[in-house]
Amino acid sequence: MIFESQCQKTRRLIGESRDRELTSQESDFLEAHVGRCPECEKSRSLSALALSLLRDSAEPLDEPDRFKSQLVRRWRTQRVRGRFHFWSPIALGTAIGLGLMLAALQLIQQPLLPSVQPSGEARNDSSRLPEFPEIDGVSRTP
Amino acid sequence: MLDGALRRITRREAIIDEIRWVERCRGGDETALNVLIDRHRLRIIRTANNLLRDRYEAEDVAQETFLKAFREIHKLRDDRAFSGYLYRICVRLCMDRLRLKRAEPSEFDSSQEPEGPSVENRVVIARVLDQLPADLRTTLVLREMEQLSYEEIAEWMGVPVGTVRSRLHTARERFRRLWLEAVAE
Repeated sequence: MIFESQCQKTRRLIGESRDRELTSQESDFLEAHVGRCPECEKSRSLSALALSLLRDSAEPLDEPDRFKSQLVRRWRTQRVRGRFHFWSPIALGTAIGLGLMLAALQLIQQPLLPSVQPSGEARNDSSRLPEFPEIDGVSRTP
Repeated sequence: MLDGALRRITRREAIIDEIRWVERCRGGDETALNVLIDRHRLRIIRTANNLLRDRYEAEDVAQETFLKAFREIHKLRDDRAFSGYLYRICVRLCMDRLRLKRAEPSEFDSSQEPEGPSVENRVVIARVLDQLPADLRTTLVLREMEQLSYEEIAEWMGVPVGTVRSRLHTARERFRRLWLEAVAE
């Protein structure tokens, strides 16, 4: 149990030795433990190898093509869209204005269209109805 | 000593200069935007590429990063913090993509035969990294490849320094174990 916790401490110190300088006490402990624990010794060398391979695995980067021009274009589009949000008063005003104009056009155009008369008026327009002969002076107009 | 003082002055000037560009960018100045992109794009792409292991996806994330940063630049209270703000966005976007990737594991393309030791190494490392959870992977890459300090990692990932320390320990252990398994195959 004690040995296991010593191994855990050693693993932690192996990692931390990559980030900071260990104190002399920590360093002595690490060396002494690694000297008598083959597992921890192996762990130290393999950790160093694996992490150095990780570091070497970074791909060399060259200047990306059209990155900046593309980004600036996207930024311009984003700005324009940002100005014309659907709740924007200008957009809202324009939409209401357009709606009113359409409604007005509908009203103006209606009398010009060949009229389909509402049923009440059609009944009153007697000039278009067929004439029936008068019987006893009473018109049979429906 | 003189060299150190000179370096401090240069750094201060660079910060003041950056503040000026950020202010102008907030006002919608395109020149300022170009300057800020030029200053940060390569590092942003490199960081995203190291995290995602995909050049095209990295460029895409880098673009998203800049767009989000410029869109929300009014939220930035301290203009000195612009670069940290930018990298924080980049790391978070990468982590989101990594989480998505882990949720939908892709088949490893065996038709891509390794062409040499360094390519083979890259393939093995990429496969091992794919098996790590997004937060462990990000912590490991930011420390080992980007050489960031614990404090910087904590700031970029939005977690306490203690969490970075423990994640790093776990990530290194798990990475070593997975790498051994991958090499033994």
